[in-house]
Amino acid sequence: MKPRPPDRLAASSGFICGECDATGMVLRSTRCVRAVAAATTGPSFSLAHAAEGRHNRAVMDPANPDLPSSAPDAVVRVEHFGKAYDKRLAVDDLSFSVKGGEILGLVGPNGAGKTTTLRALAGILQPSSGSLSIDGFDVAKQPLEAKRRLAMVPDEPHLFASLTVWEHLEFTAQVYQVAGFESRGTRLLEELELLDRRDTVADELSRGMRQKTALACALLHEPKALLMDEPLTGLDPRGIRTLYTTLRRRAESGAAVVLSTHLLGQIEGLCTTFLILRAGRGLFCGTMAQIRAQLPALSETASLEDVFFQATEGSVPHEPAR
Amino acid sequence: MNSGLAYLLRMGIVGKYRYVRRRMRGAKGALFTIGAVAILLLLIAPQVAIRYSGRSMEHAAHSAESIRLWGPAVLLAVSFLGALSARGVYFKPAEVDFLFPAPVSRRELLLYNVLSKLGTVALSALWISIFMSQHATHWYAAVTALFLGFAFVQLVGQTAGLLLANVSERLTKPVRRVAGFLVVAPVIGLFVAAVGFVPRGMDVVATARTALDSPLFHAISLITRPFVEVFVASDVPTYLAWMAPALVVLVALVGAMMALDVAFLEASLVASERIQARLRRLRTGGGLGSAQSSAAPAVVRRGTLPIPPRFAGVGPIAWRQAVAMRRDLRSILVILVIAIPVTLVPILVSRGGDEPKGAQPAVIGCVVLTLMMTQNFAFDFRRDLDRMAFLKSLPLRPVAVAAGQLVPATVLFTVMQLAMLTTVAVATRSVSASLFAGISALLPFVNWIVAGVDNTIFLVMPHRIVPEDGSNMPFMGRTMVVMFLKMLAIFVIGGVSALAGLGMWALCGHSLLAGAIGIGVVLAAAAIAVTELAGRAFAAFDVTRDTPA
Repeated sequence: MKPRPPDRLAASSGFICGECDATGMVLRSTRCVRAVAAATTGPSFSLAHAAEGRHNRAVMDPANPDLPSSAPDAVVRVEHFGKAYDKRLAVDDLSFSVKGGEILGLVGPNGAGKTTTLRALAGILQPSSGSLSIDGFDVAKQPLEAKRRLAMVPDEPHLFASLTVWEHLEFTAQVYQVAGFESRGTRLLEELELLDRRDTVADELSRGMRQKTALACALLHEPKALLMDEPLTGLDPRGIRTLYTTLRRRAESGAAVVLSTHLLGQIEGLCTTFLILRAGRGLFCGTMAQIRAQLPALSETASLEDVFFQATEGSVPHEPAR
Repeated sequence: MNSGLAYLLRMGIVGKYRYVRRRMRGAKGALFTIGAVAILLLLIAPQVAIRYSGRSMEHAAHSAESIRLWGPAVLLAVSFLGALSARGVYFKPAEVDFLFPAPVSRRELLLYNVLSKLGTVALSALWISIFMSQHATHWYAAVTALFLGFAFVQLVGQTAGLLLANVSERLTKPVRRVAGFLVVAPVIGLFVAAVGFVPRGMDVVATARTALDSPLFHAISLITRPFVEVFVASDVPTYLAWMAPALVVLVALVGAMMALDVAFLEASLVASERIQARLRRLRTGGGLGSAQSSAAPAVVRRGTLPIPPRFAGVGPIAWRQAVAMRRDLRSILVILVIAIPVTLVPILVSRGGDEPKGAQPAVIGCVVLTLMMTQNFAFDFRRDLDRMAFLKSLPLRPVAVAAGQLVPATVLFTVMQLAMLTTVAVATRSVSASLFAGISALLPFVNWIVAGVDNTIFLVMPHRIVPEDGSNMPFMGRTMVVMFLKMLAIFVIGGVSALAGLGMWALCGHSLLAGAIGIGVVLAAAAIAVTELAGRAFAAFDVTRDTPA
């Protein structure tokens, strides 16, 4: 892990936070979470503050050189994104980025803002503040350009009931103007084990197959950014393995993948980076090693599940004795 | 337009045909389709007969004046309600998933939304024209006018939806509420003032006629006139002459929609999710009661009822539905509050003076109205379509489960009918005590039989009682067949019991009591038979095979 600059480590000893007036240590401006964690003053205080979200921006601060959001070649870029519904703040000042080849796991409890973030990235929701871009195109200002480069697979894929699997691909090809889609479509159906269902209408497909059909449609125009909301739900073990292979293949060919899920154990080996959200605020972002390092209470071999609980709740619940 | 959207519109039509063809493969589906077509022909035949009998011209000429008077008001009222419904920018879930993140421009998406709804508009126009064409000189004028009129309502709703989206973007919730009130309040105020100004002793209908014929209302309803004039057109040149301004109005509305620079996706997503959630509740919970609850999903509605004795399992099963009903009481009351005045209005309007008129039509109206509404208060198997596996796993005899399911609906309908009957009796003072007592005694049997027949048909030919979207043609056909079968069964049972009553009445020296007992005995026997049938149908229900999507 990259050693932290001394100014951040120095930021912890017996002062008052400049942002929130919390006593106990210096929490210099927006860097308190990292600073506190790095200074190993015990995670409970810092995490409690991070969870309160009063000054968690440091974790995703784009000005910070070792943070993902500052990557110049990022395909997906989210800067100070906020989304409010009337008085309720669904996402608050969230910044992160995903480079081509990366698979980012968006994790967080219910209501953390995962789906809102994905929908805003897909241009479905208008951000209340901040900006989101895909491959350099601002989603709000240049929606068509951005949308040409992305694909979104929602948590419960709804297909057109009376269209066949192949007709879904045909329709997608026309919307995205994919020339000569037939060979690519056939290849995708083969890859996703749907070839024998080519002429089945969506109404007669199982949930897993509908999911795979939606994925095939999403991959047809070879998007630079692939956004997936709970992609593992409803898939059988073979389906999950197929999905892993497909996503890895896409990432290897340069696509940026963002997926949200609650199945932490399933994505630990798949994702290259993780973004932990809670109540609309980003808590931690980075590789497993980077996040673990920010949580000194955890061992180096702590699982994503342990990291998740430590980050969002401040401690890892014990499993009941068997 | 994006070629993908054009493809989707085309495939939408192909898909509907494909769906019907697929349904026809199974025996039940084929039976339903043939039944629906037969009923449709039965409905169309009298209209064709009237048209070719030569009476239609006279009839149309007579109707034209009334249609010219009432038509614009009806069209305005429906458009206003449509604009308030927030369905304007509704997209189906698959459209949301595929089209919202796709590189399709705002205008293309709007145009697609307008065009995709034309199918529903055309279907509605054809359906209503079956009943309305007799009032038009030419059937094609009726169909065209209804199509254009429904398209107008649709476009007004969509334009209002966009405007609402635009307003929502800029205003906070409290300000939005105030703005909404400011829009609705004048309309209600105008209506109340108009009703208040009706001079004493003057006929309500005559006053309404005067108001609708006033220059002020002519000015307000000017935009709807072309649609009405197309309907009543007496010759082809007049028909074409009025069609032009009607089309201009529609094109202008589409133009206004395109010109409104609103990022509607978010508002549309919210509206679509809300409608989908309500539909889901309706499809799994059944009826209007479930739809009403969507307004306050976060509120935990309490209120329970004491568990009745077990009665071989009938008690707990009935209790479960009764508690659900208890918790939907507010929506039931809302519907009752609407239904009772609807039943009473014809009586009050026809009274005119102080002399009470016969209440028989109102009594029949009360009973028929509630019978037609069973689908909206489906506190029985129809509500439990997604819980059939659980019900089948219970250690109870199928007939006990069936009986338990029928109790709450029977009680609810009996209470509703008695409430309406009492209102009619008090309002008209023409329902004798013996008639009231006789009807009250027979109502539970009639309601049990209706609920039993409804449930038996449902279990033999399971279907969702709410369609996934409005343009579901097979759903309309199925509803027609179910209604026809239900009416047929009730007609047969009613006929047999009437014959029995008549026989007893004649045998016992014209005793009304004996006649009523005769009817009661036959109805009770029919109720037992129907329960047994529902029980058998429940036992034969295959959860894997018979649960519809």
